[in-house]
Amino acid sequence: MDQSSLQLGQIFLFVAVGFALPALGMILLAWVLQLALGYHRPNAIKNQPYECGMKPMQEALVQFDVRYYLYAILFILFDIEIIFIIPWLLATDSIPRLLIGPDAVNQLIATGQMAELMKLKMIGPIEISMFLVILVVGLVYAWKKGALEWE
Amino acid sequence: MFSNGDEIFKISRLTIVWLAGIFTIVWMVCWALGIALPMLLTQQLGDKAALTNEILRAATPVIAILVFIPINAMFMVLIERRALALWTVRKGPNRVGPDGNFQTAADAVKLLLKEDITPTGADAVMHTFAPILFFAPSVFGAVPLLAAVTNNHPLFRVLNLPTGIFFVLAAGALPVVALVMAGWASNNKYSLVGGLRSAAQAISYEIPLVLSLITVCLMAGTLDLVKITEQQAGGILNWNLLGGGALTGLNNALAGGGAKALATSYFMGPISYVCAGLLVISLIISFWLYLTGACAEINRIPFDLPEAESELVSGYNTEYSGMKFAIFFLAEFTNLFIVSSITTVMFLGGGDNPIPPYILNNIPGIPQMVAAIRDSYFCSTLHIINPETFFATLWVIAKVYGLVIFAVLIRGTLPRFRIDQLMAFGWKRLIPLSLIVFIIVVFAREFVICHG
Repeated sequence: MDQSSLQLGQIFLFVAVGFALPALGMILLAWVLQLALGYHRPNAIKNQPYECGMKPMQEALVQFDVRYYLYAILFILFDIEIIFIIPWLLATDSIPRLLIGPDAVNQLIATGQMAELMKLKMIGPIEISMFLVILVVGLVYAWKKGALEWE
Repeated sequence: MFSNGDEIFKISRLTIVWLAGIFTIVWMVCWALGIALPMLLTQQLGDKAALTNEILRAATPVIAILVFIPINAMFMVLIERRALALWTVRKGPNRVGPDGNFQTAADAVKLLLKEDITPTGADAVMHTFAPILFFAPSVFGAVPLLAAVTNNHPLFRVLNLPTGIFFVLAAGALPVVALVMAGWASNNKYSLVGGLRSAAQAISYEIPLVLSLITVCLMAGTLDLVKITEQQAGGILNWNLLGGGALTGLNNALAGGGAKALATSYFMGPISYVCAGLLVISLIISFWLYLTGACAEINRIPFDLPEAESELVSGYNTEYSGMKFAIFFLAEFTNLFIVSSITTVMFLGGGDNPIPPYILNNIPGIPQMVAAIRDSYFCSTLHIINPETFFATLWVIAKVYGLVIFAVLIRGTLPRFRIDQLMAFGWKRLIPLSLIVFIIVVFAREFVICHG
């Protein structure tokens, strides 16, 4: 058996154990114990939802505030941003080498032409800051519109 | 400072006894399954045992985690209660066993034997599945961390994912679903509000949290947690907490490289020194942002709005009793442990000794001690102790539990936020701050050669 299939098996094992430990090892065990020892005796009063000692007034699944959706939409904006940043951060260090080739970059370092090198190195940061500026404009707009107020 | 000095001694004793107990048990299980049994099988069967051995070694970390999680949570609950009692000048649990040492073990038995109540009108399937889904990510989310905190022990096959921290974060986003599920399925208004609050809070604080980790990944140039740990080796100046490798040049200079090492790392002269200073400040802010975001992600005080007992009874777990409640509890403490491990690996150098090797190796006695351990029978024949990873593991344990106790200290000293303050703090303060730090790091790192 090769290494990659062992590793795949291991991660599968981790996921399976993650679900099996609470499901089988704990909840099922507790169920079996309470059925076997006979202390599972539900009744209407005991099963009532708890509302500080009062009898529950209406449906529990009430309509909730629209603000939660607002935050969720804003969150998606930033979450996607982070997903775009990750490939950028893995690629940014190789931009000078991709543009002029590794030999030319080494030659620039060897001859001490740091200003030339910095011009190439700045391409990645400038790209990502343009991307972030667009996002920040979005955040500022939401802020000004009052989407971040929880009144 | 403390009015009950005796308590400090008792807490230290309790911590040492429990930690020694936990890690001896876990290590004995690992050793028996992953080292002793394969050695025995190879002796008896020869080459035929190769496949079995591989499978045993791959299964060892999983079994170790199974053993570790319950006893670790017991210890963490106990230390939290004792430490809170110390800081609020009360008596902690002190009845069950010597000094209350077995209090949480007794609690676990009690929770296992409690009746399991499903309230009227609740969605029984969702109600049962929510704690399972809450718990599962804390097991498989920790997979890449495991490779980093065990320092690549040569005798185990611990999975190392190249996506590392990304996988941890993806798994860390799952419990939110479980909390909303628990709140929705309970047929209780308090639970519903608690679940929704936890969702709103978790998604708000996830952005600064992820951005601060991304900043560290940017400094490291990789997402692989093992590589990030390896880069930070060599003393406190190399840790990501202090500039993410911006001080590596200084470290090399102190190690004997002199002015030449400084000139290599800080190749632009004064601009580079300024940028290195900016990086140090930025990464310390990042560390603080991560701690704040992590506190909010795992619903700890001061961000425990979802289970604010003064307003929402107990939030999303109001209707849970017995073992299902215990699983929520267990997963919460496991998450605290995982968050501390991420902090240790990403910022505090993993298993790295804060004293750099060029000082450490000059202290008389230390190289001889390591050599003596390496040559001993336990180490060379039985492989009970591996000198490459033994001290590193001790450092990991010290750092992780230090952060856990720091989280307890926060809980003991800070009041709870109000929900509008919480959202305003997250969106109007932390997110802009994390974006600014990110931009500073993006530009400043180009002027310094880091981790070189």
